[in-house]
Amino acid sequence: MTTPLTRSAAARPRRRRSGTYGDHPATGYLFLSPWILGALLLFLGPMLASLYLSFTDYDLFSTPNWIGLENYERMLTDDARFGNSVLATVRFVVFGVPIQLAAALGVALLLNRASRMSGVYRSAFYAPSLLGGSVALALVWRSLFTADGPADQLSGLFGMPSRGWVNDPQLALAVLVLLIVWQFGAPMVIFLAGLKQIPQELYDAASVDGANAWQRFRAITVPMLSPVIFFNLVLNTINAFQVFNAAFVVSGGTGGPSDTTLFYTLYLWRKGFVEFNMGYASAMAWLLLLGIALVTGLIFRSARSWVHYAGEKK
Amino acid sequence: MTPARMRRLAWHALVLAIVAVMLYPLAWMLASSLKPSREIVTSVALIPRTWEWANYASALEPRVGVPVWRFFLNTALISAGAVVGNVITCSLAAYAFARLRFRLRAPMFAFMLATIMLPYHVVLIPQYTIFQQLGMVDTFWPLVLPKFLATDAFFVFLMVQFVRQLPQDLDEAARIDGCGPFRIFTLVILPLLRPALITTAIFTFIWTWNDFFQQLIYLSSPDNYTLPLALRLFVDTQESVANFGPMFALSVLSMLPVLLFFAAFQRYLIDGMATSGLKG
Amino acid sequence: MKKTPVAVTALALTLLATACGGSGSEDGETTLRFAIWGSDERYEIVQGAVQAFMDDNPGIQVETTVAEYDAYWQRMNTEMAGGNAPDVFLMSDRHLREYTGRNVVMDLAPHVGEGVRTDDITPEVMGLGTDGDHLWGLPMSQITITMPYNPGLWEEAGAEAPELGWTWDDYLEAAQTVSEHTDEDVYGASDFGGIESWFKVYLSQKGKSLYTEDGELGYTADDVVEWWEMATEFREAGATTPGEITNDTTAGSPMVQRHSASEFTPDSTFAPDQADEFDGDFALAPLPQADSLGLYAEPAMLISASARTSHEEESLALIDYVVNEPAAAEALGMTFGLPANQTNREHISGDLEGAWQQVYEYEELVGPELKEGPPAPPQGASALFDLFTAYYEDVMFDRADPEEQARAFYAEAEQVIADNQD
Repeated sequence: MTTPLTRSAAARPRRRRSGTYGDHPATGYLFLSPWILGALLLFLGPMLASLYLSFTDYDLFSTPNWIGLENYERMLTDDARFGNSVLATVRFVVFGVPIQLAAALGVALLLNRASRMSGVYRSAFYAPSLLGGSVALALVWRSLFTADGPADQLSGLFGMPSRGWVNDPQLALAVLVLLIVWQFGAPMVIFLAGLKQIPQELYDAASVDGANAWQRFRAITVPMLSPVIFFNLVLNTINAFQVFNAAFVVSGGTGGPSDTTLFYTLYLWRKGFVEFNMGYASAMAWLLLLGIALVTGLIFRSARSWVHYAGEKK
Repeated sequence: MTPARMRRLAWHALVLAIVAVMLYPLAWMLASSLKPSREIVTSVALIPRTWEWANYASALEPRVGVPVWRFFLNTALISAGAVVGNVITCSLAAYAFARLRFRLRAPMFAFMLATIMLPYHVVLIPQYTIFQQLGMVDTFWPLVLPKFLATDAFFVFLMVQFVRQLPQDLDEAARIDGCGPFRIFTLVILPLLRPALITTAIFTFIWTWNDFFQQLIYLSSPDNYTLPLALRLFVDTQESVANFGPMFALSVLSMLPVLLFFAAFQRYLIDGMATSGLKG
Repeated sequence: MKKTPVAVTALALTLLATACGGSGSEDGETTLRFAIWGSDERYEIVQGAVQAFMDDNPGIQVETTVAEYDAYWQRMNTEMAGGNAPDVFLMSDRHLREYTGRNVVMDLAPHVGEGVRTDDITPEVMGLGTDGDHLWGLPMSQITITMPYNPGLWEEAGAEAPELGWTWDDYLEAAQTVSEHTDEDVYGASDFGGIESWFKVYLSQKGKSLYTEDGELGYTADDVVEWWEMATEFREAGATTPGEITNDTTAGSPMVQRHSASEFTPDSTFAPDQADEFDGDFALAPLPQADSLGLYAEPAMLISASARTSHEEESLALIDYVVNEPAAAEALGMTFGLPANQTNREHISGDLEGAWQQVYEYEELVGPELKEGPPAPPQGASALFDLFTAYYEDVMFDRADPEEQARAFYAEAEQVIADNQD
């Protein structure tokens, strides 16, 4: 590590003094230039376009007409299914995100030890996440939760007879939550990578001081892992608000039973591409953006008190 | 038996028990790839009554006039391109956001998050129009080019979090040695960022490999079709039993490359870390 | 479609366009894009007809693209909105007005007689594509609704075989008998209440239709109440499948999954070897009737061209060829149903086999009774099709009263139609 650094230093005359942030201001933009180009080309225009379209009656094929706030008004006052979709989504976020993250963190902690089998176990836990939202996955999930399938037998054991979880408004959401919990591979891997970044010396020192496992977890693992926990929390929340594929897998995109799996983006997609009301869909999208931004903003705010960046000075 | 050995065995037992539950659905999928289509439809039992090895032969037959290896190749090319793009450009952007100071940093970071907060369905058509204007529709470019423009905010943010965990003393030491930001990035940050880079590579590969929606929109000639597209062509609009057996067989086969990719790279997630020698 | 309104983007776009644009020129040949929905199998069959077209029209290349039904419309909507529609495509009845109402489908009327032949097409199936003076597409085929059933199971149970003129009461009795004499999880019939297409037949039997010529609802709330109460009577009598079976269609319909011994379906949905799936225990019967049989002939879908195609003449040639040329008919067989062109119909009738022969016989049986198909559904019809199923779901799981639910559905249906008429 030091050799190339030293060599490079010798090869290059010192042009600038050192200083924490003494770089030329253009450097940041230089590093960001691919991102800036992508943002301008692929996002800024399309996002502004969709914002504009949210105030129109855009139907995909005709020239949009300005209708002011009508889409927004209608959504908030005169659309029962919109309310259903908000409810279904909030329930999904509230149950799905914490359960998935807890499972991912639990398994990551379990796997974070040296063993010849570690690689095999990691791969096994990740395997379910290798399946995309395919027809095969739809059939697999159906086989578990269909009438008289394993899930029915299980709930029968607990004295709660059911006729196929997917059909039951009380349980259909659970089927989807279980699906994302089952596919917890991504946050698990990120937790594992984060755990590996924690210097072993910290644990050794704590052990010497007589700290038990729980104390080490509280005093070292949690704070050192906090940036990664924060990341997983933010990203999984953002993604859960936009859950789409899971509902397609289980209910074929209908949102049934009784709209209990009619997620926000599913309803938005139906409005835009099935009912040809892209103006309304755009309005829904921007309202969702505001909602997510609000929740994410709260998480960011709370982060100041619990997320610690070891690399940075206070 | 020593207590340490006992504890190790208990650990293995616990892990294996969870693995068994996790893998049951996948075992069902594997078993289904060996059932006749009709049996898949009429029974949810795990073990096949009839073993239909012919599913695999039939899965490997050409579809829509295109040999199956072509679907694998197309999918692999797109996924590999996406990996290269994401690893390079997302790490550049992450370094800028995490370590450099410039006036528009905060608004730009906020905008980046906004790009993933807006459901993509409403930007789909404007984006399609752009690629259409660029003459890139029905090529792999719309699927790969965005990755070279760091549009995956997920990975930029991921790497920002990891960069911020790296000790700033290192940058400063390198700076005192006369390194500019680019050298600090390549010589100091990148090597230490390896777990995050590997994570990015793994996820990008798998997610691109499985992505159906974007591929459906941008690829229309059968020669350009990918595995996710091919896998949807077993389902008929007709009432008859779809070709579920061969469909499961091809699903299993299409999972193998990603499984191997994961198995091959996952060990770098741990082996690569040398940070224990560094003081925070 | 409005272009992205930002100058910066436009600039970057132009720069990139000059750098990377241009997909290469074609050497004097025209390439048509032709989009179909369906499976790989259907693609191969259609490709047979397309190949014959290319052989007969050397300067024209046809690139056929295929996706399953839902994916097909997602891609089509995006391509249309992005100004990159395929030249020729299949069009479903429910999507027709959504597209023609927005001026993206080519009017074939000016070309009839010159490039597009319609003389030989059965008049009953021309109605869907005809809209005043316009013609929005040629019918790919003629289909009607039928009832596939397992005659062996019915006979074993002692149920009376269905025949022309039988009634819904007869069906209730027969299906109930079959349910009683078969395994516990096998029913005489699949619950039909939630599918708008079967309700459409029921309305036709009572001299009504889903939509009027002016795109209004052609029925009353009472009609829905009646239909859902009848379906509930069937279900409560154990004649039709319970909710959890009806709802579980991921792996196919209840009959395909052996949970039911009869159901309704368009007669274009069978493969030639369909009967093998039921070990030969497979036959087609007419639907039970109310005031009249009420069955009508309709095209499975239309074949249409984009209003913005830059290859108008070639697109028309392809449409005409697929519908009217014997070579195309030979390749297509009965994939889409009975050929719409009468000469072709006779032409292929000689070498039909298996289920396709059964369909042909069924069409001969009900043919004299068939009415002309109902008018094309108005904008908003796709949404209503799904709502009909969604509302019925609570009825079929006994979570809601059929009458209340029917009235709630009807109120929303009126709203949807009204919204689409502005």
